[in-house]
Amino acid sequence: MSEDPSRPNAAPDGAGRAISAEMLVRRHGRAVFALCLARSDSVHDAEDAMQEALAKAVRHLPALREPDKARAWLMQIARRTCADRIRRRRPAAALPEEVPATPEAPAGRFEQLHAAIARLSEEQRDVITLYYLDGRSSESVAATLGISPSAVRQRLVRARLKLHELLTEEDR
Amino acid sequence: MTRHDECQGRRETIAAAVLGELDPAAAAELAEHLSRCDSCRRLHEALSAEEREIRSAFDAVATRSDALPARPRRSNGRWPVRSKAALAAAAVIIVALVIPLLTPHGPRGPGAPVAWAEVLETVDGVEQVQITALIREGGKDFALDLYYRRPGTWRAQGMGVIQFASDGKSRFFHTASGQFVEPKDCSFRPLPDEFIRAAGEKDLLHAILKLLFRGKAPAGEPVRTSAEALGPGVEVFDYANDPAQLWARIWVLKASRLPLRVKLHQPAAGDWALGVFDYTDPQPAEFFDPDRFAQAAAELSPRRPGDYYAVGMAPLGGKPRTARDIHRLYGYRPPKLIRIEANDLGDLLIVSADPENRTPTGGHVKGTYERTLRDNWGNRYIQCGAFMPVRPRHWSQFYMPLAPIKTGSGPHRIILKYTAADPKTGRPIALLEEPVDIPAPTVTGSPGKWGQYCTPGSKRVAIRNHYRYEAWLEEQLAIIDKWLKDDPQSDLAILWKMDLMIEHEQKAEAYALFERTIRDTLIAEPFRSYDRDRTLANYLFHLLDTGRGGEVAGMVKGIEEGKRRALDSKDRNLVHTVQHQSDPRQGLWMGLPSAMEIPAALAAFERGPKPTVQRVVASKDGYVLVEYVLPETGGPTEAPLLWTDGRWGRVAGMATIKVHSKFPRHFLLWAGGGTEVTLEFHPGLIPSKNKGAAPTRFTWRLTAPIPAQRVETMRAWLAENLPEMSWPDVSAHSFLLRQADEHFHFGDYGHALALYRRIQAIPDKDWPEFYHHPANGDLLERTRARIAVAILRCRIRIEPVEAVAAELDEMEREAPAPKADLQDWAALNAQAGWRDIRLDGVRRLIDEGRLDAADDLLKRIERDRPDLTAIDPQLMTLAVPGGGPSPRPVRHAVRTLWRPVDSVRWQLRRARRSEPPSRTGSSQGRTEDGR
Repeated sequence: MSEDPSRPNAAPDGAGRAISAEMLVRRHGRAVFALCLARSDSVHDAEDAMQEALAKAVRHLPALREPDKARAWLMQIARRTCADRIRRRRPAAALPEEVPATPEAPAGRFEQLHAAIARLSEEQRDVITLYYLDGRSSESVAATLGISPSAVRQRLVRARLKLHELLTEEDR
Repeated sequence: MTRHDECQGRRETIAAAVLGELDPAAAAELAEHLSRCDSCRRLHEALSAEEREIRSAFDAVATRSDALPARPRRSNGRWPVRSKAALAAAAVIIVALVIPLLTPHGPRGPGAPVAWAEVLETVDGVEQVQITALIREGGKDFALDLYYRRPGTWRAQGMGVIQFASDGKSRFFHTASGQFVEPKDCSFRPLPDEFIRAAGEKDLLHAILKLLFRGKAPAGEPVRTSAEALGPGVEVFDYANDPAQLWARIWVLKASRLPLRVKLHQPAAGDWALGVFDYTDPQPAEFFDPDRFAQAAAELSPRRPGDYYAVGMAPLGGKPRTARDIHRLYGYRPPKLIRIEANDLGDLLIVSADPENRTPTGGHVKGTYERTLRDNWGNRYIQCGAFMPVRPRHWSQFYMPLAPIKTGSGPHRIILKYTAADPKTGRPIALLEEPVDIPAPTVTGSPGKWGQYCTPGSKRVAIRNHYRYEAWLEEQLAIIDKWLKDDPQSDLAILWKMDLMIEHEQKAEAYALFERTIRDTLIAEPFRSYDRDRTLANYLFHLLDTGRGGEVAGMVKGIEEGKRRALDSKDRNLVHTVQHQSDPRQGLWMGLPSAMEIPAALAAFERGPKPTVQRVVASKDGYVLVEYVLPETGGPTEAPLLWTDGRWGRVAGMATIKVHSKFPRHFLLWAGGGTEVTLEFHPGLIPSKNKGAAPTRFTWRLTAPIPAQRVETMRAWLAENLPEMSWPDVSAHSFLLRQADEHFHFGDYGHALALYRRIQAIPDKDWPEFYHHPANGDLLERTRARIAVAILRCRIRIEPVEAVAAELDEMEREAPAPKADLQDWAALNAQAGWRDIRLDGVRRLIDEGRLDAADDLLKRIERDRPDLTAIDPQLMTLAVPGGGPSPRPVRHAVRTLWRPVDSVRWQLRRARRSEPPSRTGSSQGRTEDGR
């Protein structure tokens, strides 16, 4: 395996699936979180969905036949996980957790942003969250979603303008 | 093109520029435009400022989400995942996400280069450390949690073993057996004795490395490497003798000089071990004390071995860590009132702090006030919608008073009530019943800040929901009639009425009402609400099930058109809702996307394989046998119903036998005759878009003639032709009882009565052992009581109603039934059984057109009807000994058991409406409803 470039020169890589799983999470964890965030009612739900999706992915890693398509495979798992969670969720809202306030993001700011994002179409939600959480490049989002970079750029720009409208709606 | 048009066209370019997605040439052109266009410049500035905020908000949430897995949520002190692979996944998440958190973005920032000696020294200075170890050995993964407390005290747990080590000695606890075991009996020992001795007060890290290298630590010190540094805040060391065999990598945080993780590689074997260090979660001394552990463990069950791992664990950050901790520390606590507001309509907004209650087994206990509250003037308030988060752990609940609203004198107070169910008995414990002053109205109407649940529409839905589950049928119908009088097309009222009609055996009438009123509107405007979609979907299923499947395609076309119109509309919210509701992945549970696939699925079914009848045999001693074969793949798979003697039903006393030979063969054997048999199958249509969806069942029939030529006896024929199978003994108790029930179910009361009497005559000693087994409680007694009721139900159907009813009265006078404990489901059920006798009499009287007599008998039944509102909604039934229904809310159980009475009452009301005028005259003094 040549996936771990940091191993000592003399040592062949024998870490096997553990390294692959680690790589999987390291490389694609943010994208999974982004997708979960686009399909969840709250950050807490998204985090739970992300953990569930990643755990599923690692469990089923041996079933991944084409490592080149790991990201698409992982995204599919994340989508299904979110859909399952929506189907089985309880009517009452989940118990919230303490959100540590940070100077960069006062509590509630992201909730407001997320509420606006929730009003975008699903395609736009996916693009927006992936863009901001996973590399901020349309090429990276395109690779994740399996569509062309130009299509991503178009969706992204329109989603961003719509987001602007939604965020400034209350001020008007 | 005007200047305005030109600028409109540039909006996307500006957004692209802000996002950094514009090529240099276009960016230069835009910059030139911005220099001369104020409106575009303002948009650019607004978007740029907003962009900074969005990015910082996303950064914060990403950092937060990265940080969380570093302290994974635990339910019982173990990882919240079950399989070892999942444990590995959790570890990977930690590794992948904790490092970036602590390094480039961490508060400590990069430090000076780290010397290995500094690391050893710093580790020897820590009071406590927890090491989570994930290990792969021989292709198997396992996990261990190691807790160290200076000086030289360890607790290690994993793989079903908890090891306590101190002063070089160890004790081992087995979670599977729930007790301490001798070291010699412990096949897995997490920490070897020599390690415990070595990892005393000094050289802790060295001892750990030596353990990892199986006692042969490499010569010299680990060497610094630039590999996998992951940022300037982390120093990485490699440690190896022969990297091809065994080597370790150690990550150290520069800011603290403490190791974050150690990973051991065994390239040749493909094994590895990973240890993640955590210094932030110190445990109290008792956590390491095996005697204290033993005391607490005595209260736990080995059936939940995971509970042992959490014993003694300190609350995390001053808060209880597990559900068990929460319950042990606090029991149940009521919410804390934060504030209360009122509007001019009498509605209330109550904000409270969530008490975070959990059951000892980890279940959530509601954290807000009761859904129905009362005030000191005699009003009832119902909660509208769900509770809403105001800020973490603070919830708002919106309440409205129910009409008619009463006013009183003196201060107006709402009584805040909070009840939780006792975890042992299921009985509600009232933890709070506190009057609180209702403030003077501070707002008019329903301000936006009160949330989405105080709109008139939401309030109506709340009223519907309240009465739907908390009131008897008559009260509900009265409200529906009032609403329909105000608005005959009120879909909420019509849908509510339809639900009631379906619940009370008037399905055909319900869908006839639907077709007359709101069907076309719903088809034209689909995917707008759950209630509407659910009804529309059920209507399509109803068409399919009543032989009108051909109409479904037209309806589906109409729904598609309605959806298209909605998507083409300018209403952004509507478009979003329609997209969301019609997405099979999101809205499958609603059923409409599935129902819309009926035409395609039906066509596929018609093309597919079907069951076939292989042979039908009739005997002169009154039995019929049908053998049918199901197709190897696909096709209906459920045991069919049977049409015989002019009725549909399961077969009385039928033996269904499946034989798997070349093809799945099925046999039906029943006592009966006739000239033709029809099997009714209920195949399921599976929607193609999601294989996980529940199948849509519909009716499919298969008919075969019963031959006129009959064999002598069925028993002899079976012995000769199907000797490989064992057939039921037709005289056996279970066969008789089942046959009696089937005859009763399909209205053959004479035959059923004879069979019930025959069973009742069997002496106790001849009943099967099962009925006498202590584990089944008084099963025989209960079964005899059931049969006694069944005998009376048969009699009231075939003997004079009044005579049987009088006999019943006499029996009750002689032996009055004790007042049933509301929590005793079996007693409630038995009571309902006696009620059903009279109810059968009412049914018969209605069928015979004797409505006044029916009314009188119904009144006798109604005397015992309980006050539903007086039953605490938290009260649960107790479990039935020997199996049976699991605990359920008493109020729900009572409603369910009284539902047949309501159905008959409604039947009587309808019979009176359709009574000829001359007969109506005989019922003078009654209302139209017969009340």
